[in-house]
Amino acid sequence: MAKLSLDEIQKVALLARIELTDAELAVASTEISSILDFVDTIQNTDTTGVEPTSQVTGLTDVWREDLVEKCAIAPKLLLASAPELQDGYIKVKKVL
Amino acid sequence: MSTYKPTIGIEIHAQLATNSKMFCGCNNDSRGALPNTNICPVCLALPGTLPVINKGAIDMAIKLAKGFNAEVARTTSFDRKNYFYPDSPKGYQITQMDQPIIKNGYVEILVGGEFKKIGIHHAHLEEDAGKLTHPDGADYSLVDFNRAGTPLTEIVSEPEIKSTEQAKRYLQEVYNIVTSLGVCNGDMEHGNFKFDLNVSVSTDSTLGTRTELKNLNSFRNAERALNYEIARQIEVLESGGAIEQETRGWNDTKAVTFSQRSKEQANDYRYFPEPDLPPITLSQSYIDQIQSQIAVLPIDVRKELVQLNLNADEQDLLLAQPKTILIFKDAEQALKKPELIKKAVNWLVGDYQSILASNKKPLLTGQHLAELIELVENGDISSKIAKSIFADIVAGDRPSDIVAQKGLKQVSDDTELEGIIKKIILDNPKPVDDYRSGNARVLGFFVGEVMKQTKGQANPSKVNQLMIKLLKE
Repeated sequence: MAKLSLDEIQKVALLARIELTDAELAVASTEISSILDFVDTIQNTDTTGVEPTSQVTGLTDVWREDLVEKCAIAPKLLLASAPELQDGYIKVKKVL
Repeated sequence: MSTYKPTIGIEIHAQLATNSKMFCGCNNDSRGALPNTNICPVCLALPGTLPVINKGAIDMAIKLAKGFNAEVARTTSFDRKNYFYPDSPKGYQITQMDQPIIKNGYVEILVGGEFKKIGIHHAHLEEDAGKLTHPDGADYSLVDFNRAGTPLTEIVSEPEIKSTEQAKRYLQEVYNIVTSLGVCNGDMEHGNFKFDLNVSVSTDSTLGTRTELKNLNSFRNAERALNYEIARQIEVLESGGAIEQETRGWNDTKAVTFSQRSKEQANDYRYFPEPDLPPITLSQSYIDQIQSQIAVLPIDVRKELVQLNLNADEQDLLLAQPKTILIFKDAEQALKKPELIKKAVNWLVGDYQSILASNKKPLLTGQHLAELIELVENGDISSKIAKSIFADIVAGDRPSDIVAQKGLKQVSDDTELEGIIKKIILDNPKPVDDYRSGNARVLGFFVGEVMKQTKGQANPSKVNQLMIKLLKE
């Protein structure tokens, strides 16, 4: 079994913005590694002549004409779930 | 020393001038709008919402493909690029990686009098993020999602650009293409056209380690940043150092590039096919139909202007004005003869430009311009009169109407002119004697007299010709 290192797990956790305790890291390491094993098994399947599938609906060309449609819901209501507002802006933790 | 040669690849982000956003019906034009007013559940990524592709953006990409001499992918699809940042409500950007809509093209640039092709690897569609502002000294940032979901096209060149000059020409040419096709408003101050420059230097044909100069939005800064970065890389290598592959920013005030270390590297975007958007299939007949709407391509106009002996500045001036190009093309069609077409161009790069500076709504048409040129050509009006009525023509008046209204038609009628000239000869015996005794300069005096008496409406070459004839009698 290809076991992921704790560093690798920590990096994945960081990318997913999940904070893990040391105990959780250890569990995640085992679990994710076993998931990767499943993926390995799938990757060993012979897919010669099989079209890659990323869509299962069979739909194509679902588009709309380039027309402006003003949203029926007022911006104020749309922003109601924002953590904090200031002068119409959404206020977030400093990012720069 | 300094046998180092730069290699440059450019990624351009051009905002598409669609009416609505890429995946929802929100207004795509938020200039002057209050923050967070052009928003809806889709571009805010509220749970349960689904994006729907804007057909207008697809059509614009099909036109662009023609401008880039490129293929339109018959099947094109979207992918997710994952990252967390407050400017992206979804936590990913919908973009295209596997099947971009535009592939394998090129742009021709004119450098040192010769045309050179720069390859376009591909161009794809994606959505813009929201806008973040960082108030001075504040411990927070502010987010405006009006721009979130604005359609962008990212145009990726091959690393085939070999100098700062070539890079500048390439940027200008792509700018001309996107603006003249009407797919981008080209307002650089508002970030409509931004670019990242990948630069490396090497003493041989292998590529050196590259750095990426991110987020430039003016041609001048591109030039300055490239010159600086090329010199910096050479200096590092000359002093025995190594170039680190990294992203660098451009500080305009200090005129330097600086390292911008980012936590997430390119391979961490975890791209995967966008499950919410079925692929787009485009038939050749649909592609042809959309591309047939293109009136003229800037490169074809540039080649004509080169033929007409316009210098690079004059070419750029016209090519940066898509509406002026259309006037030129219409005039060209009406005039046909190269020497007259050259006159049309002279009007457009000369007097027309001075009038444009104050007249924001010019109504000049190619037909009117052609008519004006023909009036001069046929001797109906002098070029001086043409100049004097040009402002009226730019304001929308028909040249022949103005000439008739103001009674400006040149006197070319031999009998009428001969009468005037004979009288002048009778009234001025002394200059006549001077002329006859070999002083050819007094001819100017006589011509001036005729002009005075005809209020400038006499055809000068005709006057000259008749004057010489009658003075000899």
